[in-house]
Amino acid sequence: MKTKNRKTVIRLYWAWNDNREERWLNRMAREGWHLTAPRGVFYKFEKGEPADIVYRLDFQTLRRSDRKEYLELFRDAGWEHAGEFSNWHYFRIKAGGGSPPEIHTDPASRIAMFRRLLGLLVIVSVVVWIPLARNLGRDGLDGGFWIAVRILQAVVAVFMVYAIHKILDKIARLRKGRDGKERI
Amino acid sequence: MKDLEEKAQRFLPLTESTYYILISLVEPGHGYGIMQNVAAVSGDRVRLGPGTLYGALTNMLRQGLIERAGERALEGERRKVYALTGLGRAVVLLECERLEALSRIGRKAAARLAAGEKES
Repeated sequence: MKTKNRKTVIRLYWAWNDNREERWLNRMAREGWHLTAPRGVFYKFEKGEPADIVYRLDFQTLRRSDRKEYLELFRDAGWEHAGEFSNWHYFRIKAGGGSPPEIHTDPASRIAMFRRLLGLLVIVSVVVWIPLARNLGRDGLDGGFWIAVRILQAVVAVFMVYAIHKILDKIARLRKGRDGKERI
Repeated sequence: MKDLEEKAQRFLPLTESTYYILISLVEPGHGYGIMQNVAAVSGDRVRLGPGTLYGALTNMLRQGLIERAGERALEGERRKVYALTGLGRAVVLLECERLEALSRIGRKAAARLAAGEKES
């Protein structure tokens, strides 16, 4: 997994902690490890010069026809697209002197981002819950295999509830943090 | 015309980002042009990030406040151009009226406060 100039790090990314993810990638860059591809829990890095690089994550479900426009907007603003995984886009830019650069500059757009994520989670949850509900109600599905399937489904279903709860909580906190400055 | 105004009224008050984006599109422009314009007219006070702008443009297209208006070159590359719709124009005008009214009331209050300070 590890050669001199490349390495893969296994790490879980919790969507409601996107800022923590950004800080971690910044620390990696300071050590000279630059992200080349986020692949789920596998993060591929390439060794280069240590640099102060700001990473920012955006969640965006893009239609093929909108993709070019989306990426160009970030590029025009000076951001490099470091990679993407499951609708999460990883952008980076060299840190300047002043306040850290942001891709989301008002709370409303961060809230909208987590709402998009929530929408996707709810759809995925339904897909997970339906077969579980059907399995539970069916007789004749005994034996170790089916018990294992049900346990696995239950674990995923419970996790989905937990994830939805965390995202709702994140949205609520963002809403509270919204001050009157935003609207006149 | 009455209908348009009623429809426009529902968008008020605008968020600061939305307000700046709409007034940037008084002349049709591309995304990067909007970011530059917002920084310029606000004296660098308001910075519009690309994530916020992309989300806002997508919303405004869906709400019918703006529309696509062809392409324009930016340093040799083609960029999509956006323009205000009739509804978008109505929203800008209404919001400006609203802000002016607020500002007038505020100035009157400020004048009375200043006068009161002089007396005491």
